[in-house]
Amino acid sequence: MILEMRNVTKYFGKRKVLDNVSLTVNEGEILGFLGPNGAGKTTAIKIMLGLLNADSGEVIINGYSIKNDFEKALKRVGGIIESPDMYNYLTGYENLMLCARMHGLGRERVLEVAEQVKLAGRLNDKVKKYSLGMRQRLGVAQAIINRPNLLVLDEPTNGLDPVGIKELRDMLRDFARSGAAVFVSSHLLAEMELMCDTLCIIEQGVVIAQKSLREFITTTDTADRLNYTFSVGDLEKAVALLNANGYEVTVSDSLIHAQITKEKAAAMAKLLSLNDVDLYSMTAEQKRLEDAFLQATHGSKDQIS
Amino acid sequence: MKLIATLIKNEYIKLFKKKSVPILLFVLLLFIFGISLIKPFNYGFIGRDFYSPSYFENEKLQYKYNIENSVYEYFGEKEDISDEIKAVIKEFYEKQIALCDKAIAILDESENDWRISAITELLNMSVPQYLSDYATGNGEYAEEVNEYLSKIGYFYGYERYLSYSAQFKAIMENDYSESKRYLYDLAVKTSDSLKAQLDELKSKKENGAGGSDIDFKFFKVNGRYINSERIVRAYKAALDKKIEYNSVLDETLRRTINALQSAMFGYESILSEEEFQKNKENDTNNYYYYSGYYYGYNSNDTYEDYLENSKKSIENDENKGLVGLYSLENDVTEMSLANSARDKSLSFINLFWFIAPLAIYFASSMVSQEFSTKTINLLLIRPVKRWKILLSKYICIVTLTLGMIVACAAVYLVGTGISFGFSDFLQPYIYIASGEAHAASFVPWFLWRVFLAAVPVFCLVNLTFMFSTVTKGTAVSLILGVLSLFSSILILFFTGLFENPDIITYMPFPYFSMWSYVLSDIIYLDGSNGNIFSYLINADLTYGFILMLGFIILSVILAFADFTKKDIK
Repeated sequence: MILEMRNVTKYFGKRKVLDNVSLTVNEGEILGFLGPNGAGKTTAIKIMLGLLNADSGEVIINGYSIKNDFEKALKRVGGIIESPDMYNYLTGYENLMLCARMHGLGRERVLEVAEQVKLAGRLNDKVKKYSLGMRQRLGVAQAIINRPNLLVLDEPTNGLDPVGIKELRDMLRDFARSGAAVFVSSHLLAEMELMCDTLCIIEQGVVIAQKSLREFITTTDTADRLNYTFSVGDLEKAVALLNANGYEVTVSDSLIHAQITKEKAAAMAKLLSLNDVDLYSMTAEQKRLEDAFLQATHGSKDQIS
Repeated sequence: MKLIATLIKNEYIKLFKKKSVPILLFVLLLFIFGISLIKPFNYGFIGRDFYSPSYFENEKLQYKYNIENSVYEYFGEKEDISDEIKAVIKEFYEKQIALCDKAIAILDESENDWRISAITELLNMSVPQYLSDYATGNGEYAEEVNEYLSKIGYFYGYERYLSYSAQFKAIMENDYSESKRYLYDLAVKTSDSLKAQLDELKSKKENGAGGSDIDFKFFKVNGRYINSERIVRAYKAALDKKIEYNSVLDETLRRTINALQSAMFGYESILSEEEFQKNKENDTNNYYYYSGYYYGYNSNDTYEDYLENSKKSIENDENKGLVGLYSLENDVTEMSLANSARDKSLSFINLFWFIAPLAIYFASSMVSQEFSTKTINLLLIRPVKRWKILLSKYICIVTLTLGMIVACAAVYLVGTGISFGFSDFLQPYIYIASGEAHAASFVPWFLWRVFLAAVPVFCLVNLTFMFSTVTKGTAVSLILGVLSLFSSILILFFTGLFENPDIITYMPFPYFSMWSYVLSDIIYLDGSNGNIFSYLINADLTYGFILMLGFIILSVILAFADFTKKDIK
């Protein structure tokens, strides 16, 4: 486990911004921190990185408490908070050098990360001349300059064009594959769906759910049964065969429907094949992430896109 | 330690990559260098008398006529003038004619020559005056001349100290220094007479005679005697050094004598308590002005006030005289008269009015700008504790301020050296301690004053840095910093508001421009020291120093407490 937030509560004045928030991010995992605007995403990230003090609870990164072992905890962390604001009157190179020096790194590493985020050609331009996308890439560059094993990104796709988003996604995937953990906050559902392994949903300062993406979108009942749909060649033969073997199925639109566990579904498929019934397709019903999200957040969809 | 050094380097890069910073620093240094090169216009020392050659031509005609027509009788025709006397008088006429010729020849070359006024002085001498001088000088017919003078009833001529023959010789040999000898003689005489008075008072005192105010009389005579001795020393030094006309030394002598004579006059005119009360009953406001200072009292003063003020005025004159005397006796050029590099370099202190706002400007954005550009987030999520980040910023602004002051002072000293000559810096600074003149090396003394003057700049920088940290607003901190600086001129508005001016002296705000007061203890022979503010309060530099230090410590504590503890929202 790389990052653990334990029962973190934060007040701004009398307003409770975070309420007993707990979450974990593991090695190789990309966690999407999803929530509507004002849900407390940035607050949580700021507490995670020591910018805000939690009123209670604690944050552990790489085994060190952010409160008691700040320097050790943040040693292998990179981040972008709110927006990747840099010193506009400095060049990209100078900005990166400022960051590199704070980690005891130098020119070589700066050129390396610049190559990685595809900024090498524009490194000597002043940041004020950069496009939003280039600034975002520069932000990523400064975040990964210290070879972190935890990357905390607050709305990293803001301002990126589709190609940029794809590049970022690929980069994060590579990053996670190397064993590092990524924590990405966003209010963009579609983005999260493509990018993340795990989702953590926060609403009004409360974590509603932290599950893998698969768990979110598959619909199971209490007995772990899914709604399966079979498309077969000989419908009548198939229904007769299944009923004879004790499977409860229904037929509509020339498709066979059954509410069964995945093991039973496999057995059904096997039965049909052995009895020469052509099985064209077999699908388990999935919820759209949007529906899953709405279900989880009790319908505050208007703030999510 | 290495990390802190790296962080400081980062801060310097961030600061100097902003175009405004190097430009402002360059402009400041250029401005200061320019000011250091400006030489004040030297008006010269002594106002010239204007005499035209025709004046001397007319005088000459008069004496020629006297010789040609044997005009010797000055006191009516009843005197029977002997041939010896006639010969002496004729010699006088011839000498006067020679002086006129000399004056005409001198005027042909220059209008500004000491001999012109010296010649005029001799030309104004009357025959009896000359005769008495002749007799005093034991001329060949001294006996006859004395006899003649007593016959015509002329005695007061003996009181003259200007020896015609000595002065005539000095003029003819163009020996300016020698022309002052009669003043030296006069000073010796005055001093001797005061010594005699003093001895008399002493013996009266020992015998218990002389009444109750004998101590006061003794105080007065003693004061005059001490200063008359100093006048003798001043003239002696001038004669020994063969001072040149219109030289700095000549002017030093003139001002020294003026100051010492003014002190003597002060002692002479100081009133005893009895006299004071008497005057007061008559409701006389006894203010009078002499040599730049007020002596006396007004009707509200108590005798103690009056005595204290009078002594202060006298001390002022005495100190000036002592400084002048020291420079005459020790071959030191008095810095205010000489248009010296030393004097000019002192005005650097006033340039803190330009350095301080710039330092405040730099300090105002030091922390707050990170918040306004949101780069603070970038800075604080590094594995570096917050106090280290703030410390690096703090060291950056403090060393920048220090560097600015050092660079400005260096540039100013170099510029001053270029325009006034570097060698003047080797001459000492003369100061008075317990009634004696002392000399100190100028440059270390000057640097100490610059340090004292710089203390409030550091205080203002610390305050502004703290404002910048706590308020997180650049404009707000800049305004607060500049207001703190200019609060120091509030004394202009507050003066007269309080019955006791010491209240302002111990208020904190005047010390935000402590440089206004660091030169007020300098004793100048020419002009005044300090500036307008230093006349309004009796600034206590030790108090100011401690106060500024207090503000600095408080600012540092507040800034660090705020920055390390508070949430970064």
